[in-house]
Amino acid sequence: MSRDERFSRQIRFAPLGRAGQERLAASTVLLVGAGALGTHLADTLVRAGIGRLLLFDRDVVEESNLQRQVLFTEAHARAGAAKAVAAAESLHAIDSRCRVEAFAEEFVPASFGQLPCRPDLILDGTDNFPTRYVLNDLAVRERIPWVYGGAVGAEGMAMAILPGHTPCLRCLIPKAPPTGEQATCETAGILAPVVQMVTAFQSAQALKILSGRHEDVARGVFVVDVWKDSYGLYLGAATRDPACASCGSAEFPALREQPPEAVKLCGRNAVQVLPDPGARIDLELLARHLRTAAAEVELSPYLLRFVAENCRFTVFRGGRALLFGVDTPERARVLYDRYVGAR
Amino acid sequence: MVRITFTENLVRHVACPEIEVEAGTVGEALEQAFRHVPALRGYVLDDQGEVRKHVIVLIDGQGLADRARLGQPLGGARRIHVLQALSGG
Repeated sequence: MSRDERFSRQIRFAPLGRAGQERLAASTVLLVGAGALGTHLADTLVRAGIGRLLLFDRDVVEESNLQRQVLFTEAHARAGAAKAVAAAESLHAIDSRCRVEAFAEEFVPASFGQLPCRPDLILDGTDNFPTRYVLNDLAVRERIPWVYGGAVGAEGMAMAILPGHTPCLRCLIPKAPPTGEQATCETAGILAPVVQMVTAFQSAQALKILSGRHEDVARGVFVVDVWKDSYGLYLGAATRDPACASCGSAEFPALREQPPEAVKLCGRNAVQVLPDPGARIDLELLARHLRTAAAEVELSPYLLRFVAENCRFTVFRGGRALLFGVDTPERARVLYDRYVGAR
Repeated sequence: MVRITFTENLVRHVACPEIEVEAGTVGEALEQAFRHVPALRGYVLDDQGEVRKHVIVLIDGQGLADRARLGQPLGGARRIHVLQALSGG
C-alpha cells in the first residue's frame, strides 16, 4: 500500500492536507514516558505518520498496566519487558516505516545532549513532576514546543506550550504538589477514558504543531473529569509570568539538579537505584554469579531479573535498577550494593 | 451568588462539597468555604495566605491575576473552580 493511500483520510482533512502530511513524515518527536499517556500518544502519532520517534521510559511492564496502556500484552507483562522496548516492538508492527528508537532509561537533563537528532516536539507521557520540569526547562531553553499532560482517577489536565509565545508549565504551576498531597494512579486509581481524553487533546495539539499550524494550537489548559462529565479549556487569556524561573528569568532550575542515587517510584512499593557515574556492569557475568545467590534469575537482551531477600530486582544495561518490594531508598541502596554492586 | 467547586484530588484529603456563597471578592468567597471546612485552608493557601503554587484557582475559567492578592473582585462571576496540578500518567 502506498503512503498516500495509507494516510489518505488524514490528507483529505483540509487544514492538514498533503503539505501537513509531508511535514509529519519529516518530523521527529521526543516522547518521555511509555505508560498510559505515553503508549496512547505513541500509538496515535505513529499511526498519523510521523517520521521518527525517540521514546524514553525507565519502567517495566506489569500486569496492572494492561487495563490502560495500549501497546502492551500479557506476554510483555510476564516477561517484565522494558516498556520502551516493548512499545517500540508494537509500534514497529503498526508502521514499520516509522523510525522508533527506544531508550530504556530515565530521562535526565544530560539525555537531551545524547539524542541522535533535535526533536521538533516534546511530548509528556511521564508520571512525575521532576521529569516534567526537566522537559519544560529544556523545551523553553531550546525553544522546542511541548505538550504537558497529567491524569489521575477520572481527572485530567493538558496544555500546549509554545516557548516564547505562551505561558510555560512553571508559569501555571510554579511548584509541584508535596509528595503526600499528590494523588497517583496507584493511590487514587485511573480510568482509561480519562487517559484517552487527555491524550486526544495532546495528540491534536501535536498534529497542529508538527504540521506547522501553530496558530491553531489551543491556548490555555484543558481540564476534564470523565466521571462528573465536565470538560473545558481554561486560562485562555493567561500570559507568561515575568517572575517565572524558566521563561522569565531563564534560570532553568530543573536542568541544574542532579537526580538522586535512589528514589522511591511514585505511589509504588518500588525504588529506582542509579549506579555511580562511570560504573560498568556486565549483565551476563552478573547473571552467572547470581545463579547460586538469588532465585528466578532471567536474562534478556535488555535486562536481568532476579529475586533476593524478598525483593525483585530488574537491572538494566548500564546498571540502573528497579527494586520491587522495598520500602525505602536506603534499604534499596543496601540491597543494590549487595547483589549488583555497580559502584 | 458564586458556586465554588473543588478538584477530586482535594476531596480525597478533606471533604469539600460544592458550596454557593455571597461574596464580593475571591478571598471572601474562599473564606466562607474555609468556615464550613476549616481543614481546607491549608490545602489551598500557604502560611502567607497566598494560593499555594501547585493550586490553580479559576474564576469563570480565567486565572487569578495574582496568587498573593485575593482581593480580586468577583464582579458577576458565577463559578470558582479550585484545581490541583495532576501528576499521574
